[in-house]
Amino acid sequence: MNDNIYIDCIKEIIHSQMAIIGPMAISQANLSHDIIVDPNLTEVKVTTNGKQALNKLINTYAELFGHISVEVSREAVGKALKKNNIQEDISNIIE
Amino acid sequence: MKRSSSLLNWVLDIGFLSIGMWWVTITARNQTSGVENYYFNLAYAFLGTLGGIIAIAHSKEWGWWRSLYGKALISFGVAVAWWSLGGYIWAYYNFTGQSDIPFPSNADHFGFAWFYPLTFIGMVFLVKGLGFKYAWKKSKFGKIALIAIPILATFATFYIYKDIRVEGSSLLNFYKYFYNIGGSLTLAASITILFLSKYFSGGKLRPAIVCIVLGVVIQYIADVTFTYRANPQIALYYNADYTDMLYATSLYLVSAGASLFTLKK
Repeated sequence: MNDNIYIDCIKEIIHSQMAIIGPMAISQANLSHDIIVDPNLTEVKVTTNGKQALNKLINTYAELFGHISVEVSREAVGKALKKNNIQEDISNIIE
Repeated sequence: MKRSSSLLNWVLDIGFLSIGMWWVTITARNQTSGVENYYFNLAYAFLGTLGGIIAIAHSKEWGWWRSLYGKALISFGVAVAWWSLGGYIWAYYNFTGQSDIPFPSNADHFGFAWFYPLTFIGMVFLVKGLGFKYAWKKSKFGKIALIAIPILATFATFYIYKDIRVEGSSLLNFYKYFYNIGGSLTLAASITILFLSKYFSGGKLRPAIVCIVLGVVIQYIADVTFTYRANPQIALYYNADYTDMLYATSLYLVSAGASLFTLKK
């Protein structure tokens, strides 16, 4: 899976978290240092590798909001994979 | 997690403490009527307005109405402020000499009665934000609470009021059931949230949630007690009664809980 797919997954996760916690989803994503997100969620850059950045993001949310954020992230990743027509087991992406 | 130390929060805390001490002195003097009692009720209505403003202001951190947590805080804030509107109408009846205990009245129609629907809406947002659809499968106690509490509370309401019925006052009969059944439904949603927050919120926001839920529980107790004591057949209620202190505590806890609902250090 290339980094663009991971970026799509990251975007989808942040989008889903925003529905629950608002703009804090973006500020928390930027705190992980592996991801740079603009305030409107139009551009997402990954500074390390995609899989690592994605899992770090999920952990950042989980530390603050517990298991719910992991469930939300799993669902978001599933949605992003479906949009890209990728048949991949989510557990291979989320550690 | 730490509560933000804004001036408004400080005023809310000091205000609540002062109201608590004032109530102790009124009760110690056995003062069950008079202008001071009216002022006491008016004072805690102001506290509710302040609390509502604080709750709404705290939704900014969560993007105001753009997130579930923001929507929940706005709903709680509006609920508390709206309740206070009832307090002002009540005070108007008192100070103009129209009624000492205006129940039921416009204070209920335009103020108090809106607390539960608005709080319930806030609870629905919070339940969604805490992952109800994920937790429902896992939280056995949450399911039990959601189903059992409204049933038990409704039975309790009918049991308490089975012998107390005011002939010719359908509005009073309506409100005593409205407050108790509306309260029990909101209570059920609140207790469910407590279970969900235990399993799913990660603990950071739990003190805030506990505070808000406790506020709703106390509001329910206050409503059950008030509608019983203010009933003309019982006639135990007076302005600045202990039920008023319960209402003041409820408004304070919901507002303080909303101000705790933050991740800012």
